[in-house]
Order: sequence, then structure tokens, then C-alpha cells
Amino acid sequence: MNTLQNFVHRKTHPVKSIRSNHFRSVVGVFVGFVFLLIISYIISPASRTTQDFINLLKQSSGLGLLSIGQTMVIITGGIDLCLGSIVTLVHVLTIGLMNGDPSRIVPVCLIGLGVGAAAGIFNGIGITKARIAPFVMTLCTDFILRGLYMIYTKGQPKGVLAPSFRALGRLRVFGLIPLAVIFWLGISGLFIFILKKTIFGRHVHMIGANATCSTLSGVKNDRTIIIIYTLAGFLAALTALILTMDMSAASLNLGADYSMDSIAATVVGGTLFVGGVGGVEGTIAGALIIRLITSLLQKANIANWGKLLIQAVLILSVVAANSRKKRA
Amino acid sequence: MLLEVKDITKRFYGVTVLDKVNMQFNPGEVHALVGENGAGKSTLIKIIGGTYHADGGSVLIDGQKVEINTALDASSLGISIVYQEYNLVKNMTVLENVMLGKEPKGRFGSMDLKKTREHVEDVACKDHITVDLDKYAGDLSSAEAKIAEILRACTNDMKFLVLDEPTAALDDDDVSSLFTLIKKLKARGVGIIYISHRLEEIFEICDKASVLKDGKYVGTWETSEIDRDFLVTAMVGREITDVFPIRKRDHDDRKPVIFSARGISDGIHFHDISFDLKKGEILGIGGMSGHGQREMIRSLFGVIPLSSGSLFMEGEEIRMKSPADAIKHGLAFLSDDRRSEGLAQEQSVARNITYPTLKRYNPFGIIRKKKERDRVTDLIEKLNIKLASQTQNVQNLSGGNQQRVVLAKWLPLNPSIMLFHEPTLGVDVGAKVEIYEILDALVSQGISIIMVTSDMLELLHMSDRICVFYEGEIIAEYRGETATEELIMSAASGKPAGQGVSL
Amino acid sequence: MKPVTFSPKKFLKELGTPKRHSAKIIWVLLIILVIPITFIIPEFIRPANLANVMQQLVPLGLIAIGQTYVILGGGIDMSVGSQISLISLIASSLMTDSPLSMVGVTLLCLALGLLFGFVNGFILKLFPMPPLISTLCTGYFFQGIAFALHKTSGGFIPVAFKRVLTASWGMLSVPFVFYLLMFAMAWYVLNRTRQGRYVYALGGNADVLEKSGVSCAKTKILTYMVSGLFCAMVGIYLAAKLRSGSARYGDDYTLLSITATVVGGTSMAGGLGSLSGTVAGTVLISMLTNVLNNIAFRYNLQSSYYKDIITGLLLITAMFFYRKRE
Repeated sequence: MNTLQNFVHRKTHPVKSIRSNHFRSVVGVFVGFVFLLIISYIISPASRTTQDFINLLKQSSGLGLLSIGQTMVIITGGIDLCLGSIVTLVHVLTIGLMNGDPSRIVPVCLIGLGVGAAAGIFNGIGITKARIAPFVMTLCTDFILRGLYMIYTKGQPKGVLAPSFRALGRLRVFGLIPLAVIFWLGISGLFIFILKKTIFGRHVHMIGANATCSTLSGVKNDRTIIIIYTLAGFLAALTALILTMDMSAASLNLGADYSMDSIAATVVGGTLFVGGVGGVEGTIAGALIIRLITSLLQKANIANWGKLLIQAVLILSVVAANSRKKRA
Repeated sequence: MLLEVKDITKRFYGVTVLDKVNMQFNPGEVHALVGENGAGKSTLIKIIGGTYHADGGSVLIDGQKVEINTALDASSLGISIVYQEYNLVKNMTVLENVMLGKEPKGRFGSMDLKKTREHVEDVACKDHITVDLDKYAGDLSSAEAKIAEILRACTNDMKFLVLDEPTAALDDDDVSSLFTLIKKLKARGVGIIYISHRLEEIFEICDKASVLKDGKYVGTWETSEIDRDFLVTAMVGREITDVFPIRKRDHDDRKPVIFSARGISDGIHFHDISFDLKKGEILGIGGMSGHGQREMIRSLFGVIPLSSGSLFMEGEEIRMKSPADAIKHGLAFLSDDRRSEGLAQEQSVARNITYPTLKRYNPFGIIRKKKERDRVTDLIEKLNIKLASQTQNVQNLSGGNQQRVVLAKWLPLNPSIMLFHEPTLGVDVGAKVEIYEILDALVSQGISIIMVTSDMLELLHMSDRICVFYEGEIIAEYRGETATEELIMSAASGKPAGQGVSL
Repeated sequence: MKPVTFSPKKFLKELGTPKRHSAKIIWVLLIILVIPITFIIPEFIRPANLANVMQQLVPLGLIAIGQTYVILGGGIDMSVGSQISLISLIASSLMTDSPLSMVGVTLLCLALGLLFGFVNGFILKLFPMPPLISTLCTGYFFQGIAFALHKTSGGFIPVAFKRVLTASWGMLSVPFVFYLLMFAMAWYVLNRTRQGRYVYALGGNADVLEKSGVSCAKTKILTYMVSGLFCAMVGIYLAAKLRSGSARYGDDYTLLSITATVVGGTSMAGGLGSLSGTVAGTVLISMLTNVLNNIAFRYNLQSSYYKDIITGLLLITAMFFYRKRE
């Protein structure tokens, strides 16, 4: 029933199409990546091979997969500071529980994913029901998870992976592309679709843009927020599994940098902290850029501290540049 | 000290809010600044006060151009402003708020608290302002808060005092105290700029009145030489009869009651509210702002929980715990605050419009872009929303167009009851006329409307029935055609007169 | 100031709805907690143990004062931990045996703390952005420099310096007295000076503060400088106590300083809270840590793992408890 049937029509203006700022910034990030890639080729000519590029893709896939969750969280106006700890926890659990037994692969993976999702649900509930600010909640969860994996491993992570599990890490699709890259790009594609073309995606954006407006429009924000944090936790656990496939021994340092790196990848990829703006497309390029910077720094031997400095400045610059833009 | 503004121009996000405004304010004079919502009065005041920067033009004092870039600049020039919005720090006492930034120094870098108190008590005494200095600002009523802000202004060395809607929340006694104060200040040579919607106040206390309309300066007149109708015509730019549709307000008692409230209360802001809403009628809710109307209308939408009482839809009791429930029952809510509640300013027009109806039009969860685009184009046309493209941000639209976007958002839900909180706040006159036409069209198709408004003309001309709120309760009810501004104003002050309509 | 009267009914009412000086709840809780603690861990009451707690709480107590200033002003300082680590490294790298060096390096480190704080505040002035992000980034930045400076040998701090900074007589110790002194000064500035009041206004309603003619940016910068100063103090102290610097000293302190502040009744939104509450929060955390250590010692567990979990849960609980105010 059209309630305006009797309304008088007036003349309308022609509709012009306006390109969104976000599209431009995504293109910009990809251009930035290519630019950086060219510079790296100039600096070290030895890396101009396809194999090297594939390696870069492989190294970026863990970060890329993890950052999908972070991107969605930041779009809703939040932040997730515990993702790195989820990675470490699931990693040590996987290696510790599997004990070299191939029949355990599936259950152990399921447990790992469950742990990640549980951490995410915990975050989501604290943020929605207890009204705790996301950074506080996820920071607390980070510490709790840290305590948990330290208690589990007693400082000495032990265990062995089943050989068939490790074989997955060596799997190459079409003989060329590692499984990890397929997971990363495939899942990224899925979430790009979800964020752009589904109702759920619209909810995510609106909650970040104006949560009150979303509630007043009849949407139950809490449900969406809990789902988002759960997904972030789940994807972090998945990342842990994929990274673990490639490792022979457990490391308590695995997840160390991932929280910060995922924030960097997301921000560089064009997702803003204001909420409601951004997408996983840019994060793909963001992850590539962060990993490329890491490998360049490793070659220059300033890996650890240089990376922190550069990423700190990078995130700050991107956010600062966007803060100036908003002046009317 | 002569205060002048010359050719002041201001734009927000591409919309011109002030257009080459020229005005003069003399000392020792009470000068009213009048205009519709969105005419630019508050913006002009904020430019004089240093909160906004003009895009063009200048402010002059005694003929000399002055730079007012910060609030400090304004106050050091002797300009004190009492803004319309709440401007106190909630977790500080009145005394602390009043002297914020001006605390006298004591020993060892501390504040001389005794001197602070004495100074403020002095001023309060001299100017007959009574307020509890030790109460936390967050615990004050709207009236007390406004008085505290006035006290703050008085503790400055004032040459000009600007009052932006000072009486919106004050009762009769407070208003007469304020007027006494204004007369005193006038005698001391302080210039007063007085913004108000209450025209009878303007004729009571002001010497001059200037009108702004759609950002443009219309004219200045001595209040002794003009009358109300003249002012209204100048404000609105057309005869009052051209603004509001001629409403056939029938009081057919056979019309079914579609929605009722019985004894509802939220425990804090409003109590024991009961009313019936008939199908196809406009129920206007009046009264001074801050007397519970805001909370009451939100409780009808499931935003604020009820501590007691019941709501009935077509005779059946309904419980609403969230806006989602309310929407399911056929209610729609158009907030007074488009910026932080009604719309997502930095999202596109299309996204804002389609948001509440996503599930309805995309049953499988996946959005059908083309169908959506067509639907939005259709709505934009029907509601005459002026914009460049449906993908542009809502932020760049004028108030009137934004309100049309809000309507476009809710209408496709086919609500049976629409709740409006200030339907034309910040909307220019042209858009107002169209919105009133839309409202009229909606009710003629059987939609019922509850409308909370502080715009007296709107309340009087659009409502079939009017309920006036006072201190959280309905103190009086009137029929739309027979109500007058005086009746509403008395009821709003707690002293209802004239015949009411019983429930 | 308001005349202080005590009435039990009013006291109980205020317990339920904390206002500006809501430390009362936590102090009451603390006193109540001592009873079960003494039952479970009799060792707690021993003077040696108490003296230990009183010394252990000083680093947290100091930086919590700084963090409280920042949070009262509506901000947050996530760079606290890395500032502590960095200063400890700088101190241990530069200090030599001469008294001149000890004094000089100390002054230099304090100045650096002020500088770091200034940078934090200044960034926010130039580029309005959530303080969480800016201080998170500066934190990473300082941490990066700390890693660069970190040497396995840990640097050098003369024994004499350590002795001076950690001297004690019975229950009293230099750090504890210093902490009381700092608290007194910080309390005075916050509650008796104009600048202190502006901090509350900044967090309560920055708009009003600006309209009152006070520079919000300046007040904000001052709060971060206070935080930076206290971070430097703790960095120097830890370097002295352990006679070396490390890029990991400050790791837990960021979350701990926020916890102490929030537990003590300061609201994350700003404008509401008190320093005495933060002290109570600090004491509570230190008490719990001590109890945890004692329990862990008794049952042969590694306490540091459990400490993280407890800190996280404690902050979540505190925020949940105070949620009605927000």
C-alpha cells in the first residue's frame, strides 16, 4: 500500500553518481602496495621471482586472515586487542593436544576454533551486556588468555603435530599457490561480499556510523556486535591453525605481534576508527604492505624494533591524515 | 559599546546558513532576535561568541573590527552568552561551574575558595538570582540549570548579554525574576540580545526586534510600533494561513481509539500519563521543554522502559522492550535529533532510507541493488527531496531535506502510528509547508500521529487535540481549534485555565 | 568546600550511587576484605609481609596517579608501560658511578618523561583522534626504541643509587614515603588549584571548559605530561631496584594502571573520580597480588600467570560494577 498516492508530484533533479571516498582509498592502498613492491625490487633484485612473490603472499595470509575480523570490529566502532593471544593459545593447544596422532586432527582443530569463538563471545557479551568499552574488554581478555596459555604450557610449550596436518602446510593448489593463501583470499572474498551485499553487512556499517540510529530503526545491535567479535575470535583461531601447519615446534611468541599488525593492516587498508567506513578489500592490500615492510626490515636487520617504529608512525599518519579531512 | 555585525556569512557542508547579515546592537537596549527554527539565530550568536567562525563578513565593536576566534576573546570583550544548549559540567557544583576559568588565586597556586564563594554570592544577591551553589549541576532541574548559567554570565564584566531561549524551561516566577534582572542590566547600560520563540515575551521586555528568515536579515523594528501578526509574517515570509494546511479537524467520537496509555510512568521524568489516540488524528503534546515529554514519547517506542502503567494497541495490551518491538506493532519514531539519532550523517541517503526496511525487501538477506536503487529514487521523487545523488552523504542536505529523508525512511514501513518529536526543528519555511502537507495527507489516510513540539504555531494549527505537560504530568487538554497561545502558556506554567476536554 | 558531616544513612546511600569522590566504596571493601584474607593467609599480617606490600605498591601507585589525571581529563594513556621500559633503559645506559651522573641522569629521565607526555598531548592537539589510538601508537613507538636499546647485559646502575632509592626502616621505606609525598602533591594540585579543576572540567564537558576561556589542548597536554613524569619516576625506580634496564619492565603496567584507576571509582568517560580512590585501587591490587604470591608459594604454582588472569577479571568486574554511571 503506497501511503503517498495522493501526494502531488514535483519536479526532481537529475541524479548524478558520486564515487565514494572509500573506493578511492582502496585503490590508493593497492597502488601503495605496488609502489612499495617496486621499491623492494629495486633494493633487492634477487626477490623479483614469482616464487618470492608467492612467499610474500603466503607470509601475508596469516595476517590477512586475522585482520578480516579486526576490520569488521573496527567498522563497528570497536577494536580487538586480544587477537594475538588467541593465536598463541590456539597454537599451543593444537600442538599440545594433537600429540602426533592423525585421528586427533579434526577434534583438535574443532576445539581450537571453539576456543577462539568462545573468547570472541566473551568479548561480545562484555561489550554489549556489561557495556564495557571494547578496548578495555579485549585488553582484559588478552591478559586472561595470556595467563591461560602460560598456565597450560607452564612456560614450556610441548607437543608434536601429526604429519598429515603438517602436510597440509605444504599443500600447493595448482602446484603453485599455498593452501593458506587460498584460505585468506577466499575468506576475504566471502566477507567482502557479506559486508557489501548483505543485510548483516549493512547492520555492521550502520552500527559503526550511528549505533543509536540503528537501534531506533529497530535493529538489535547487540546481536550483530556479539557475532562480529565471535567471528574475529574464530578467524584468529583459524589463523593459528594455518600458521601451525607450517611449524615443527610450538612457540609462545607466535601471536605476539598480531594484534598490532592487524590494526595496522586494517587502518592502512582504509578502514577508519570513526566507524561505519571501511572494508576488507583494503585490508588485503594493507596486510600485504605490512608484511612487505616486515620483510624489508628483516633484510636490513632491524626487524624487531624498526617494525614497531614504522608501524606506529604509519598508523598514526593514516589516522591523523583522516582526522584533518573531517574539518568542514 | 556598540556591537555590529556586517555581511556575516556562514556555510555548513555546502548549505548557506547565514547570508550577508547586517545588524546593530546598542548598549542599554533589549534587542530581540526573532526567526523560525533554522533561520540562523543561534548560528549568528555562536559567531559573536567565538564558537563558530564566519566564512565572510566581520564583527565590529564601536566601529572597529574585532577578531573573535575563541570564547575567551568574546568574554574579554565583555560579551557574555547564555546558550540554548545545556552548558554545565555535571559533576561539578554550581559554584564551581559559575566560576570556571575565573577562579581567584590564593596562596601557593591554589584557588581562593572563600573569595570565590563571596564573589558569586555577591553577584547573586545584587541581581536577585537564587540558586543552591552547592548542588551538583547534574542534579539541577532544567530551570535551575538555566538560572545557574545566567548567574555565570552575570559574574563576568558584561557589556553585552546574549540570551538564547532563556525561558524555554522557566516557570512564571523565574521569568519575572529574569525580566527584573534584565531591566536592571539595561539601566546599567548593558546591551541585551534576546532570542525567543515566545512572541509575547518579546513585546513585554524588548525594545527592538530584528527578524532573520532563512539566513537573511529581514529588518529591525521598534516593538512599540509593530504587533504580533506583523512579526510572524516577517518571520515566516507569508501569511500564516499559507503555512499551515487548512485542517478539517473533526471530533467524530465514533472514530475508533487506536492507541491508549493508562497510567504510564518511567519513575523519573513522567508519571501517571493517560491518553487515547483516535485513528486519523493528530495529538499534540505541548508544555515547556524538560517536563517529561521527551521521555514519554520515547517510552511509547520502547526506548525508555516503563516502571508502571500499560499501553494498548486497538484494545490489546502491548509490551515493548525495544524499538524493534514498537516497529512490529506499527509504530514509527522520528527523533528531534537528526544528527545523533535520526540519521547516520556520514552514510548515504540511500542507506539511511533503506535501513529499517532491509528485511522486508530483501527476504534472503542479500541485497538486491537495482531494486533498492529504484525504490529509493521513487521515494526521493515522492517526497521532493532535493539532492545531487542518492549516494551522497546525508550530512550535506539542508534541515528540511534531511527531515524528508527521515520521512522516506519510515513511510515504507506503513506505520499506523507515527511519533514525532519536533517535526520541523531546524527546517526552513518552504520545507515546513511541505511537511505539514505530508502530515495532513498521512492522517487523511488513516495514520495517527502523536507530536511533541515546542513550536506554538505548529501545536495550535496542526493538532486535533492538545495535551499540555507540566512537571511530568498532563495538566490540561484542549481541542485544537479552540486552544489559544495564552491557554497553552498558562497550562505550561502550571496554572491551567479555561475549559479542558476530559479524557 | 562543603562542610563534612557524617551520617550512616547518607553514607550507605552514597555507597550505592557514587558521585565525584566515590572512594568510599573501595576503602570499605578493602577493610572488609582484610578479614577473610587474614583467615586464608595468616602470613599476610606479618610485619615483614606488610612492609613488602607497602614497597611493592609504589610503582603502580605512582603511575596510577598519572593515569588518573589523564582519565579524569577524558583521555587514556596506553603508552605507560613502554615509557617505563624506555626510561629504565636510558637510565641504566647512561648512569655512572659519580654522584653528578646519578643526579644528572635522574633529572634527564624526568625531563624525558615530561617530553614524552608532551608529545602525547601535542599529537592530540594537532590531530583530533581517539586518545586510545594515539597513545597506543606512541606506546608502540617507545617500545620500539626500547627494543633497540635493550641489551642482554641490561646496563649499569651503581649500587649506591639503588641503596638510596630502596632504603627502609622497618615498615617505612624511601619509595613509600616518596609515594605519599607525591600523592599529597598530586592531590593538592588536582583539588586545590585551578588547573586541577580544569582537568575535571575537561573530562566532564570539554565544550564548557573551552567556552569558559580555558585552553582544552593545554589542559590535556598537562595531564599527559603528569603521566609521563610519573612513568619516568617509576622507570628510574625499577632500574635502580633491579640495577638494570629492560624493554619488558613496563609490560603489565598499562593495564594495571587503568585497573587501579577504574577500581578506585574513576569513570572512563572522564570528569568523575578521585585520587584517593586510585590509592585504594592500588592497595587492593597490591594486596591481591601479595595474597596470590603467598598462595602460589604455598601450593608451588607460578603466580605470574595467574596474576594476568586476575587483573583482567578484576577490571572487567570493576567496570561491570560501575556500569550504571556511564
